[in-house]
Amino acid sequence: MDRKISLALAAVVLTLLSACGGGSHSGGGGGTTPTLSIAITTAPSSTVEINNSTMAVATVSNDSTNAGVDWTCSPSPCGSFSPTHTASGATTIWTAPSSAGTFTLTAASTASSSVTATASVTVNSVASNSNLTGQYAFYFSGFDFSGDAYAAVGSVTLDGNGNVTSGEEDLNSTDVDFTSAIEGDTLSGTYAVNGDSQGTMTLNASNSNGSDPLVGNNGVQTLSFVVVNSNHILLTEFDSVYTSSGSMDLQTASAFNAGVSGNFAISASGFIGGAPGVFGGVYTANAGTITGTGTADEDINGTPTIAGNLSGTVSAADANGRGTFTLTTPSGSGTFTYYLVGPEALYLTEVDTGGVMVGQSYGQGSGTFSNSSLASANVLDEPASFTAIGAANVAGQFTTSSSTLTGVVDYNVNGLVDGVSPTPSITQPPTPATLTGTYTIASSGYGSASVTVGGTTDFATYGIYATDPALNINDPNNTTGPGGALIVELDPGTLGTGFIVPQTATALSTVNEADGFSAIVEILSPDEFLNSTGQYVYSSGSFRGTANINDFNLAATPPAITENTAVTISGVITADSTNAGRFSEVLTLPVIGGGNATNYRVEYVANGGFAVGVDTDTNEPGLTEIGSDIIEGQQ
Amino acid sequence: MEKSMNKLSGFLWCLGLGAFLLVCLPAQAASVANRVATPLYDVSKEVTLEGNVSTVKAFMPGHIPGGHMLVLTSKGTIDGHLGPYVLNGKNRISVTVGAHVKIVGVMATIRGNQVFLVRTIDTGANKYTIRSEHGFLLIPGAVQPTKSINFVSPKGGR
Repeated sequence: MDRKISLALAAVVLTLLSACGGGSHSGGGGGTTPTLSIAITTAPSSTVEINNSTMAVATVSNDSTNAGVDWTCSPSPCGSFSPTHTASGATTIWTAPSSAGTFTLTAASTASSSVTATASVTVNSVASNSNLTGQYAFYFSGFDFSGDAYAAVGSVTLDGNGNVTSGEEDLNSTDVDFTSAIEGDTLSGTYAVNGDSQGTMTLNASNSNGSDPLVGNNGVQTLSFVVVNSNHILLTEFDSVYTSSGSMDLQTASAFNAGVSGNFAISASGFIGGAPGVFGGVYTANAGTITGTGTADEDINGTPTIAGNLSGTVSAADANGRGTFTLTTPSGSGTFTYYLVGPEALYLTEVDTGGVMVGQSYGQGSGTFSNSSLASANVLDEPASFTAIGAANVAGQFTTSSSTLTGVVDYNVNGLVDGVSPTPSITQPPTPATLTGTYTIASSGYGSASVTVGGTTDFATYGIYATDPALNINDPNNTTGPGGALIVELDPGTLGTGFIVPQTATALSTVNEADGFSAIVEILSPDEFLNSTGQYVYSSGSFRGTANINDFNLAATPPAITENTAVTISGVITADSTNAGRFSEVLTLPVIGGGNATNYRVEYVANGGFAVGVDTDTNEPGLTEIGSDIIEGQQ
Repeated sequence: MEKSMNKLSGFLWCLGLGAFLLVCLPAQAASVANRVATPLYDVSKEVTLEGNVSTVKAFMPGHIPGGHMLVLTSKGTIDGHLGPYVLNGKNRISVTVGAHVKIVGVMATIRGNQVFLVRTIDTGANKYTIRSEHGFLLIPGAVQPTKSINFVSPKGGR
C-alpha cells in the first residue's frame, strides 16, 4: 500500500514539474519556452560631457540563439555606439553627441527587438561664452590666399556674453599692399563658445578711416578656436582670405603699469623681404632700456650671427597692454609691437615694412641659470622651420646629463621623414632618429646646443634661452607644466624656432584634449596651406572628435578656399614600447572631393596634459602634410 | 738655473693660460657650437643650364613636395624644384611649356634622385628669383624693406 501511494505521488510531482516548465524545450512536447529577457548589467555613466564616451554592458537571458544585443539611442542626433551590436555581456562604448541634453540608450535583444532595457544619460556642455571673460592677448601667423605671409598680435576684451567690447591689433604682411604695417587698429565683434568648447570669434578692425580693408576679409577677421581653459585658447584665422594659427591668453591688467621689466628670453620668426629669418636671445629691460651683451642670435636667410649684442628701448604699455620695442643687433634694427599677457609673458610682431616676424618673450624669474636648468628629461618642438627644399618640423624628447643630451626625434623635411625621401612605402610609424649632442647654459640663461640627428644634416646648431622655471611658456596663466626654454635653430641651411619643456610624464592623463594643428604645406593634390583647431576625446588607445579646418589650395585658379567646419576626425594612438613618451597616431579624416584619407603623426608627451607632434606623412597618394600640432589637456 | 727657468716658464704659461681663460671663458661660456649643418644649397656649386621647358606642375606624385619644372637640356632632362610659393597665388611666375629658359641653381641628390634646386629662371621676357643665394625659398613679390631692419635685408626677391 505504501509503495503504491509513493508511486502515485511521484507521478503527480513529475506531472506538475512538467506542467510548470522551467526547462528547455524537450522536443517531447509538454514543455514551455523560458522568458527572453535583457538587462543592462553595466550601466553607462549618468552624466557625460559633450563628445565624451562611456561604456555599457547588456546581458540577455534565455536566448537560446545567443544572438546578442543591438544598441540604439534617442533622440537623434544622439552620438554613436562602437560597436552597435555586441554579444550578450560584452562592452560597447557610447560617444555622446556634440550637443547637450538627456538621451536614452536602448539595448535590444537581437533575437527579439521588442525585448529591451534602457538607461538615461545626461550630456553636459564643457564650455560656454561665460568661460571667456576678460581681456585677452593674442597672436597668430600664417598665409593669405595669394601666398603672402602675415602675422598679427593684439588684445580683445570679452564680456562673457558673446561680445568683443573693445580691442586693438597690429598686423603686417609680405603683400605689396602693406607699404607700412597696420598699427593699433581698434577691434569690436562677437564670439560664441559651443558646448564642446570650440567656437568662433568675429573681429571688426577699424582705423581712423573706418573699416580697415587690409585686415581679414575687408576688415572682418573670423577666428576659429578651442578653449583649453578659461585663460587660454588655441585659435586659427578661419576666413576666406587668411589661414593661420596662434593662441589667446588672459591678460593681467595689473601688470600693464610695470610694463616690460626684468630679465627675459625672446624668440621670433618670419620673413624679411620674403626670405625666412629667426631671432632669439635673452635681455634685461630696465626703465625702458634693453640690454643684452653677447646674448642675441639670429639667422636671416641662412646667415647665422651668434652671440651678438642686443640693445634697444621698450615703451610703456597702454590700457590694452600694448607697447613698442626697438631692437638693435649687429646686423640691423627693427621695431616691434608687443602685447603683455602678464608680467612675464608678451607676444610681439615686427611692424617694419617688409619685416613680418612674430614672436614671444617670457620672463626668466629672479634666479640664475646653469646647465642643470634644463630638466633631466625634456620634450622639444621646432614646429616651423625653413630649408632649401621647403618647410620642416621637428619634435622629440631627450635626457640631459651634465652638458650632454641624448634622445630621439621625428622630423619631416618637406616630405623627407627620418632621412627617407618621399616614398609611399615607408613603414608607419617611422623609426625615430637618434639625437645626441652637447649644450651649455650661462648664468644669464643664454645658451647653445650642438647636436647630431640621425639620417640628416639639417639640424645642428641651436640657441637656448632659458625661461622662468615657474612659468608655463605654452599657457602662461597655468601653473602646471612650468619651465623650459625657447630655442632657435641657427644653421646656414635650416632655420627655425621652438621650445623645450620638461617631461614629467610619459602619457596623457586628461581625456579631453584641445588640438591646434598647422601645416605649412599640405599636398592634397597641389600645394596648400592649412590650419585647424579641434577637440578630441582620448580613450583606450583611440580618439575621436571634430575640427575646423581652413584649407587654402593656392594652385587652383582662383585659389580654392575651403572652410571645413566640424570635420569628424578619429584615430588610434599607440605607445612606443621602446621610447616611453613617444606615441604614433593614425588619423582618419575626410578629404575634399569625398572619401577619407589617412594621416600619420608622432606625438611626444611632456606631461599628462601636454604633447607636441609632427606629421610623418610622406608623398602618399591622397594626403601628405608637412605639419605640426600641439595637444593641450582641457580643464 | 734651468729648473728655475722651467719653473718661470711654467708660471708664465699658467699665467698666460689663466689670462686667456679669464678673457675667453665668459664669452665662450654659453657657446658649444662647433658642428654646423651641411647646407643642401652651396652657392659655390651653382651652375647655369639652358633648355626648353617640357613640364610645369605644382605637384608631381613621387617627387618631393613643391612645384617642379622639367627642362630638356643638351645633357638630358632636368627636374627643377621650385618650392611651394612660385606657382601659386597672385604673384605666381609665368613659365610655359615649350619656353626656352636659362636656370641657375644647384644639383642635389635626394634619396638617390637628382633634383635641381632652381634659384633663378630667365625666360628672356622675365627673370625670376626663386631662392636666395643660401637656397631658401622666397615668397614672390614680397614687399621689400625700406630700411635695414631687423635683422638684415636679404638679397633676392623679385
